Amino acid sequence: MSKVSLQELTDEAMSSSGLGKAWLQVVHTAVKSKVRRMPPRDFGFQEWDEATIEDVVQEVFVRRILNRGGKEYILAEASTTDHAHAGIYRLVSLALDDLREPNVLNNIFENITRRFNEEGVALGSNDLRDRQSDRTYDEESAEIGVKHIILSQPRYPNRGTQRESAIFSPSSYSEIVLRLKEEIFPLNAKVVRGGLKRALTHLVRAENYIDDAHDFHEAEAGGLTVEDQASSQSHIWGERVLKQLSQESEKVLVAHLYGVKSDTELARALGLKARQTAAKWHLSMKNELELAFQKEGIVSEDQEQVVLAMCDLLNIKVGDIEESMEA
Amino acid sequence: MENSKLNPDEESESYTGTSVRKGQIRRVVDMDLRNDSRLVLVCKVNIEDDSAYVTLVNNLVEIATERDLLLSTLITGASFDLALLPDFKVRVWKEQIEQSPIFGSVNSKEMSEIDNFHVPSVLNKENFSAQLKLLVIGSYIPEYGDHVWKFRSDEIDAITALGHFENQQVSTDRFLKKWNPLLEKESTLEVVIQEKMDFNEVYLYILTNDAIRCERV
Repeated sequence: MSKVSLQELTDEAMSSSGLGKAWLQVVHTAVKSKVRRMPPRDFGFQEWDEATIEDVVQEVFVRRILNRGGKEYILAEASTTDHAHAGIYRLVSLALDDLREPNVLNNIFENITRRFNEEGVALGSNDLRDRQSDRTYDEESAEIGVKHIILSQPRYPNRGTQRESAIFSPSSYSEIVLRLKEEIFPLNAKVVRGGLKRALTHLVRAENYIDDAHDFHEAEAGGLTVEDQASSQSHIWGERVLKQLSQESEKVLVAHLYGVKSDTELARALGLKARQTAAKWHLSMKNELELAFQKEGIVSEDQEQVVLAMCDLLNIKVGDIEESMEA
Repeated sequence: MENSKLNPDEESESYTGTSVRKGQIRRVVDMDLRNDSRLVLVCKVNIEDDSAYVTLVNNLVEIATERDLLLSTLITGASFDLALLPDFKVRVWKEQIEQSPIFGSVNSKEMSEIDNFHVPSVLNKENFSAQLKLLVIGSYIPEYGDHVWKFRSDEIDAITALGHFENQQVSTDRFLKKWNPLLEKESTLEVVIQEKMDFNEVYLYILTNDAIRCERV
């Protein structure tokens, strides 16, 4: 399939019938190339197949190309075919973040709520400290305060495409909850959720969003790069293995790759009450992983490459993994 | 004085594209097509040597920082929201802009705010949004190791590659090529006054030209 030229994109955009085959081809290739690095569950799908990719393509058109001047911006800025393709790849990244954001927000919000609940505090609609009503009741300022508290915490690097539940360390969550209690008024579910949403725009987007290196590179190669193709077998295996892991096991694996070793640490990282539950999940992950390797016929020499591919799919830095493997 | 109707912010008649004016949002291209084009806001037009100072804009409003200004579609009339990056300003030739359509424009009141906006420096903790009445600054807070840093440094490279550094000799050549026919008929002072050119700039070109002539002699 030949690469769609800027002229074809422009002609189609200017035609009376509007966007058609040329735009669809570029967006479809971009979506296919990008989602293979992202877990389908983040987008509410069980797996990536033609039907789900088509759904995402439709969403990209609705959210970013036909609206918000996406198409017009591409045609305005680009003067070469590669540049136009890179711009479309960037719009696809933006749309994917739009799609993923609600899931991520829910995960972090649930994590914070659970920690409040553990302390016997319910994040209801009313402020926890209504009695201290000498302070100004300004929900917007409070949301901005929440945003700053959340953004002040360090987060795991390059977790942009993974669920956000593990983006903060347990100690960061504790710090967030402590500071929310001390500094925010009114403190209620609406304010925390609103502040989180404001912060999330930054937390979620920046990493995927402006991955120009990928965007330009992939756009030039028309989807898959040579390196991608060379490592595609490992990625295919990695995807298959990940699909066979339960949601709990995937979380355990991610935590393990980030250096969480003991079951006590694991329990804290995953917000579990009992160490025994963490140990059970840990064991279950090992069994599921072993079974998946066997089922796919992945011999022990290839297993390291597959783990690296899985890390790529989960967007975990290789350096982090190597340290963890050595340990 | 047949062609003496030019304003400082207007085009010269030697080019066929749409006139370049302060406040327009245009695409700047590399004449050799070696670098990717970018959208820019025209901040100043110099009729003396047909150059313009332009500032980078892009559609990544979500990652606009407090150093950047947001230009909504209501302000520019463009089809898309834009972020203006005042740090990224370069000098380009008008030939690089004038073939581009005008995608939007910022009116003089907002332009004056942009002109007077002092971007925050590391040492200056002033409240910068207080400088603004019509425009708003971005709200993104970059972190250590944030991809935004790399993105911004790439954009600096991209816009710099499209720009031209001040080069008195090149400017003088362009000035003479453009204005010589008129200078042969009228005195320099007359031309400067009639054409509303920057006297200091012209004086510099003439001086440089004299210096070059002396050198050749």
